[in-house]
Amino acid sequence: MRSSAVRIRNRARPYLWLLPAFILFFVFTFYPFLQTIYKSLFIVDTAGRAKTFVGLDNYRYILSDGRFLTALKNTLWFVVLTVPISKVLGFALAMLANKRRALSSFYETSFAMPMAMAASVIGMIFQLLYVSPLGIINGTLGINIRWLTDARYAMLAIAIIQIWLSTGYAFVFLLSAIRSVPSDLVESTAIDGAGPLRQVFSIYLPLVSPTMFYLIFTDMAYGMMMMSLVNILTNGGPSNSTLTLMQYIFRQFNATGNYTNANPAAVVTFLLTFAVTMATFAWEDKGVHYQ
Amino acid sequence: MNERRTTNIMMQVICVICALMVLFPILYAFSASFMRPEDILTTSHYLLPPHPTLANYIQAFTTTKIARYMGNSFIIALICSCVRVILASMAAFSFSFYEFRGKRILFALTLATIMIPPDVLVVQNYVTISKMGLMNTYAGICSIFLISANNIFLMRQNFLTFSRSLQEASRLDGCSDLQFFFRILLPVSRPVLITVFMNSFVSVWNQYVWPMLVTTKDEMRTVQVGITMLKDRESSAFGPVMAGASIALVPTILIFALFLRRIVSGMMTGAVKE
Repeated sequence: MRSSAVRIRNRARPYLWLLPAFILFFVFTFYPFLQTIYKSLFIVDTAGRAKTFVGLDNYRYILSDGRFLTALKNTLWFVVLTVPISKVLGFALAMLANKRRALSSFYETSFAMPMAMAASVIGMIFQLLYVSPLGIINGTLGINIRWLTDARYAMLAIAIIQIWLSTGYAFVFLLSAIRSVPSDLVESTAIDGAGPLRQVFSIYLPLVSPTMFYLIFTDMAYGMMMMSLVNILTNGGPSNSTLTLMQYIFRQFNATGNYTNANPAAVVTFLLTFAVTMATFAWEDKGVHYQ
Repeated sequence: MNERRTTNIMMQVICVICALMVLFPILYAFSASFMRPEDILTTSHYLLPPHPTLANYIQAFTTTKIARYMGNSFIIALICSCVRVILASMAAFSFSFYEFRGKRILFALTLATIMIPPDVLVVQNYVTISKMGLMNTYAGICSIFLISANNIFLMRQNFLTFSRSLQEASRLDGCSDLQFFFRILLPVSRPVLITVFMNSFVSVWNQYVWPMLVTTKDEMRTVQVGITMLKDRESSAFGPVMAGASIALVPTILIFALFLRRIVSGMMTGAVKE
């Protein structure tokens, strides 16, 4: 009798170590995920309770809602603006910082610093830089653009902040990838007469492509979910030019208590993010070189 | 030789210039936080305060509860980071030192949570938290940040480098699993625990959307949410906002400057393909 109790306890042991983690995963990830999908098929009251089953009607509604489509277009545009440029800049900084020099630790930390910044703080700092006409950016460039209040420039202004934020992240990863490129490989091509530019394209870029892939993958997923910057700086305006998918969802349930539209919008956003990030895998087969 | 020295110095000059450009928004915010309101937005575009003053800081502290916001953020970041370290190391311990039925599925489920962006779940989690009556509580704010599959994954990779014979040897010495975990495994894994802790601290400290959603009372706001209250969109009182921003930046900048290498090496583990 006692031995079987011991055996059960031994059997249960690995699960007990996992239990707290899985309780949290269940309550705050799996349960809400399934609930969101389930409730997206219902009319939901303002307390978040499912009321009437409507099938795919909610989806039909949001997919024909002009604002949702605008949000979708804006979000994709934001991803296109931010993801490639921040990777190119991160790569350029990493190439500059590649060789260890006396001041390395200063500028490496500086290049990486944006990734420690909170979107809300940095959003407010850029708000000051963007002021028109007296802000530093307009002032030093001698232009007068109403960055955050002109519908033509608002998304660009938001994207510039995000590029600044993600360049630091890209830099950190690419620096360690570049530094792990074998130096004899670089030297041997130098002897063959390859200039620095050739080296970048024929050695460094192919060898860091797995890291590049990881960065693009995670940054696209992040970009599809962007909300904090627009929430702080433009609230989706002017005239919905910076309305993103998450901002749309947030407006639905926070401003109007409309969970009926928030749930399907969240599901669509998830599926789109999933599709967009999976699309990068197609590129992985062609462009990424694993050693 | 001489030529190489010149290029070396040239490269460093270029890098430092780039570094200052990257840091410019942060440096300018610090500088502007010491400017008088009439010096911030002028046609002379001062980079350094022509008449340094502490008035913005005094105003930030007197018109908002910024000290309270900072305290809230510290408590929340501290709780979440500690809990993450403990729960993630427990789960990783199970995944790396035991064989049991369903292990692969449970591990796959753990990794699957990385694929589900937390933002998509915000709506439903908000309902859960308000049903539990946890609005405006530390528990409510911390709730969704208490576990991270990334941390479990990172720790598992680390634990797998210890051989199981270490555990068997300690078992023969009469060491229970609990003792092994706390007395042997955690102490030798200190570097990875610090990585996870610092990483969590910075990321929880910087959270904005969720803490904003689940707090409606001013005294429960975190610093990231609180300082956005320092100004409304139309006003041009930037001085106090920059003072608030500077205060909020100090902890993360310090952690980052001191622990960059450790944080980076920790993040790499997840990125490297096996």
